Amino acid sequence: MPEAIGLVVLLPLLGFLAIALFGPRMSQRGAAYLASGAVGLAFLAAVVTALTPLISSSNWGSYGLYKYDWTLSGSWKVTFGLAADPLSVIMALVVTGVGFLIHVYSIGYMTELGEDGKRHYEKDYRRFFAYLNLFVFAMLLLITADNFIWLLVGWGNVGLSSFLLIGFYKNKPSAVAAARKAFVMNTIGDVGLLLGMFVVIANTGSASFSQALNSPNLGGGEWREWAAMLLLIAAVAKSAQFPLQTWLPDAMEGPTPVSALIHAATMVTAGVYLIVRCHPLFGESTVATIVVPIIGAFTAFYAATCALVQTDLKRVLAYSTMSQLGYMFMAAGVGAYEAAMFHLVAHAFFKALLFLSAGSIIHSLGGEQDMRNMGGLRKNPATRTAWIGFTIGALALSGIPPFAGFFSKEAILGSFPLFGQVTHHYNPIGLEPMYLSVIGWVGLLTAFMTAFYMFRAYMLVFEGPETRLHPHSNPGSMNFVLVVLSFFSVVGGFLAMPGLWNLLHNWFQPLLKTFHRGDEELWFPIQTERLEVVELALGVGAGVAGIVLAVGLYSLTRQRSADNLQPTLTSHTEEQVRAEEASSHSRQGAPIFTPRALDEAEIRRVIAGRDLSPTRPEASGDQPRLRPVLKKRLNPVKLGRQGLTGFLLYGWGFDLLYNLLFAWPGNLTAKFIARFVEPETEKAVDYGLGGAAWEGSKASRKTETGLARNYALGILFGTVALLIYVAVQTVQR
Amino acid sequence: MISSILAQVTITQADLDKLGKVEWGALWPAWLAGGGVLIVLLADLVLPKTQRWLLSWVSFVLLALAAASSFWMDMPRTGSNATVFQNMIAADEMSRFLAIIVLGVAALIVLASPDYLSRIGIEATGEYYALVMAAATGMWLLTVAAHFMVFFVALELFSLALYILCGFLPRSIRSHESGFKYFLLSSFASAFLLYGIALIFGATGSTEYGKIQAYLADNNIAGNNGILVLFGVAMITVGFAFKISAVPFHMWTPDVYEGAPTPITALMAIGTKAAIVAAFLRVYPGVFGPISDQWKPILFVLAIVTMIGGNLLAVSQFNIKRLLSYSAVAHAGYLMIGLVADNTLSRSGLLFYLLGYTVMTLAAFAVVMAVEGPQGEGLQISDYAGLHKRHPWLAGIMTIALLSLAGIPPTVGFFGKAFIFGAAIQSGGWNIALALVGIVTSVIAAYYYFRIIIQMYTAQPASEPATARIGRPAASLGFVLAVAVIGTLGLGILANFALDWANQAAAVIGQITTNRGS
Amino acid sequence: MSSITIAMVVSALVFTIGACGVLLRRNPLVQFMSIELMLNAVNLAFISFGGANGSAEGQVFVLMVLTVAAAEAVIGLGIIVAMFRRRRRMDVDDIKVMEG
Repeated sequence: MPEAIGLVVLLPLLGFLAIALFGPRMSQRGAAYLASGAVGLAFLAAVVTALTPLISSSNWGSYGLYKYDWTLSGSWKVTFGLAADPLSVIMALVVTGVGFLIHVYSIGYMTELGEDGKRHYEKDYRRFFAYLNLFVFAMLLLITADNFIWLLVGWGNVGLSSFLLIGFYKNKPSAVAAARKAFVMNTIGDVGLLLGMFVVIANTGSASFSQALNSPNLGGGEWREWAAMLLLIAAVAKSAQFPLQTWLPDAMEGPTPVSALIHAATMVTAGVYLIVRCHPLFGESTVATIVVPIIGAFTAFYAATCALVQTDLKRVLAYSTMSQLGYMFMAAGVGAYEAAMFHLVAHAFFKALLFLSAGSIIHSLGGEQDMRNMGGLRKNPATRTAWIGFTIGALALSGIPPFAGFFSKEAILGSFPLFGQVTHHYNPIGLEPMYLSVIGWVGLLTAFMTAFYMFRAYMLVFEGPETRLHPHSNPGSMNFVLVVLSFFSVVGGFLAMPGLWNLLHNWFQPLLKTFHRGDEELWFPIQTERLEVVELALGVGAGVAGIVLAVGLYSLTRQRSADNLQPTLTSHTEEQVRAEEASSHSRQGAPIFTPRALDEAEIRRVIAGRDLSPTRPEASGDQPRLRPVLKKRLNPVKLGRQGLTGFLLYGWGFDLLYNLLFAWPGNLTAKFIARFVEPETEKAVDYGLGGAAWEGSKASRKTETGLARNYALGILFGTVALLIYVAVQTVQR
Repeated sequence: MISSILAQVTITQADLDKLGKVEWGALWPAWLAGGGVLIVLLADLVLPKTQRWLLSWVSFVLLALAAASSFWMDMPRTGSNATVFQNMIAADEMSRFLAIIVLGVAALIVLASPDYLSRIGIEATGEYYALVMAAATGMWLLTVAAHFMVFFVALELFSLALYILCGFLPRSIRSHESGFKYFLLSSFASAFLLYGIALIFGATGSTEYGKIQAYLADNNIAGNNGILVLFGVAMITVGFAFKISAVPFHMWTPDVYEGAPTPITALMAIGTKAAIVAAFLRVYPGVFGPISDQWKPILFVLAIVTMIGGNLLAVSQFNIKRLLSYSAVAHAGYLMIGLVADNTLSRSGLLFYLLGYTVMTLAAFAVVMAVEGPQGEGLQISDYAGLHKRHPWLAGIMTIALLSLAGIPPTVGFFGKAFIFGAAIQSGGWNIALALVGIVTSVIAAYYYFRIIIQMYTAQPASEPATARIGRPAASLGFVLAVAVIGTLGLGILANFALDWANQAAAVIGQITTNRGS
Repeated sequence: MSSITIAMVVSALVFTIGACGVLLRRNPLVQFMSIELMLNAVNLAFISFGGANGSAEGQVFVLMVLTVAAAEAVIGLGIIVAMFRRRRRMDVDDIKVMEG
């Protein structure tokens, strides 16, 4: 029954409004149950919607509680409605399903174990659930919109709720800075979406997907490329792809359920969704078919290298999310939309599982996120479920059969002929086979690194010497969620069994028919029949090799001191990291582009019991430096290792680069203007481009002298300018 | 010489017929609102002091009736014949549309005023309401003018009323200063406008819209008269740009808006702007339509400078009225995009945006009115810290209004911007740059609007604000707030109706070309 | 030079003198007189154009301008007097409580 799609969107909105308006009159637990219940019911409604094809798949279309056409002067038409079609329904199932589980998980997670041994609700418990519901509503609106306008509404609102949730701990400066950074990056994307949307609407006269994207007016040529590129900016920003990727690792400052829901399972996939939704536009755009897979492959590789050395458990998962999204971009870019969606769904399960397992561990360790302070948790009964969940998730992510990640990742890698085979089936758009092959090899290398860093994390957390921290057990609801997600991470891949069945293909058939070559309709289906043995073996082999290497390296030496053997480990560069972090403290104000966990070092020191003094070391210099600390004896090998580790740890220094490109000139301009205008006043101009705007504003305010005669002079100045203009016109006439 | 002039004036029977037939019914809103001025002044004389509160209701009812009367307005014909009073007044769908906006806003502002006036302690309420009604009449007449004489008189009618109203607060230096600055600069700009009209008159031989348009359509800017036309257009643009507060003619705006009583600020920000934009639509794409190549570059530059300047100046403001006034400047820039793009979509989009701008600005100013203290306290942005604890509804309404001003969907502000920017992209060429600048400056604008929202919801007031003890707004002000916020959201979500109407209203632009009479 | 040209030049000159007066003088009354001067320049233009075009509209417009200018004078003087009562000094450059 496709009409139920209206209910799917409405229920979380009602939940949000109820908590927002009547929150103070509810009990804490009541608000949490209400929020979870709203999303749970929305999930049921989504299931009901998903039964549509049982009746007739021709029922797919626009539905919703609110549907009508705007026609404006015949040139613009906007159809408002909610789309009930395979794409939106499968997304709705994922968002409400995973969303519901994460709501349930949060009921337990957002509590603290008090001194008295009882659980206390965290501050702003209700507010948290209100935000979560707001997010789910916005996300559902985004994916069920059948037109660009609603899409934009959802798109903007997920950005907003993501901002609110990342900065949920509003007294933590690093969280606020991270929230702001995410918002800024997403705003760039919003502008891209807005412009792309205008290009589409201005050309086709319609905002609805079904009409605008299939309209012949969109045509070939320049406008299509422009639209695709502008929409790609939006997709890249939302999905944290290169070059707008730097916000995602910092977004881990939010509570872990938020990271699981927004920054792993749902919101960040919106970019992939956008590309798949606009596949008639992207698929036939020449530039996009080249640029999108390259962006995806590069990001996948880049993020995997960064994940190799991270010491913060959540940051490992964040980089891994970025990397997996890169896979989806690769697939969506070359037209393997089914594979991209397959990986999206499977990834939602196992990445949520990984995050929630990590969250369980962090929660039971009382907030510790640094893997170097963990270890030996496998044997601890308090973290037993988390161990099982994390292991299953890690295996799935590494692409080990029969877990979900194996099938979906193989589906993507299968879209890239590794050896440059020219087959009609692989390559419907007619791309250069060598190009596909290179991207395929990058994907394969990334798969290897993925397995390695996942099991490096596994070894650090669960094996080795036991941690000095004392884990306590978690509420049953949290463990329950882990079990459910583990189940789906195991069976999620059976949606498309090579050679046996392919449910996804049948599911997407009504929507994803895109490529035309002559009269023939071409597909990019998941490779069910001819999954080639060699490629399959390579794919699984990469995963297994990564796992074996990681487990081998880390179990050879069970001592933490043995980390020195590992060039990729971070502990021997700890001093360096600390020095860098210390130097980053000297920045005042809240920088936009470098909010990298400002008080991380502080927290870590306190936890480690090393330096409890609150004074921060005042280092010289403005920017976090990546210069390694020189020892007495210069050891080039060690130095190189340290340099490389630092390079990877800081995400290839993109933060630094953006700092240099945007924040620094902004600061400089701001300081310059400030010196020019008010040399005596002392101000916090450390705001990058924002500071430049602020100072520019203050400078331009100087024109408002308050003197009426000056205002009259302004009028006269304008008049004279106009008169000169018309005089020139008169002469040229 | 006089005899020679008289010799040229030939009076035909048709002209006499027309003189005999005066379409009184076409000006119902003006009769009601303008007559209301007298009624209120008389009532002020007659009523005892204890009954003065009736005045606001009388003027509200009269203004609301005036707005409503546009529906039984006698609109003689559509299209080329839609002018009455010897082609001096345009009685068409756009007049009706603007009657609802201008007079409706005036009515709502009258309704919102008693709470504010009693808090400030103003006694002379009779004059206040009479002047507001006079201003509203002038604004509406400006929108229906089809002749520069009517245009000028209407402009001065509301300007004169506003000079007094700006300086209305008896003990406030700021208010006096506001009135004086507005008076001095507005008269100064009016002189330029008049000189422009004189030049156009000299070139075309008429001050009637239709005749000027017909002349320009025939002769364009050829010959010596063309020089006069060009200079005339430039001078008229000065007057227009002053009233719409385009950069660099905007400098009076923040000072005047800040000093004026807040309801009057709202009236100026909304009513004046709506009236002048409507006049813009009638004069530029209409009368000067044939020479659009000459004025479009001017407005193009003005729009860009205004968008950048207004938003930039607003960024570092601390006073909410100044911030909103710079935001009004910035919106003037967005509105001018619609004038430059000048296609079907832009015209109707412009009217739609005007409607949206009306409700969202009214909502914002109504909240400012409700929060302001008796001595003008509570106008700093820092005074809004923690507002959502003291007045959750006011904070909510302010949030919606600001989101709409920032152009966040699904509020009306987004759709207005979408149509205008879309029209700019549609018209192609350099106009795409307008849309780009518009979008980029909208992002800057979001920053200062969000600053207020963040203040309201997350900041803690440093100390007990002076206005903390101000109670809930009176029911009448509450009604205004409700109307404004429902409009802001409702027009965004259910805009079909308003859009259709705006479309109809915009259809008349440029159609006044008639060569009736001699 | 034809008479219309002469009238136009005079009108433009008077207008410019008025505009400069507004900008340069600091006494509000004198500024206001300068504005009146500008209006009268406009009147001159209207009358001469009306004569040249053989149209009565110019003359009628002048009457309108005169009337409005009279009303403006009343209000303007009212405002100036109200300010004077508080300040005791007539200098527009003192009137700058609000700026920025």
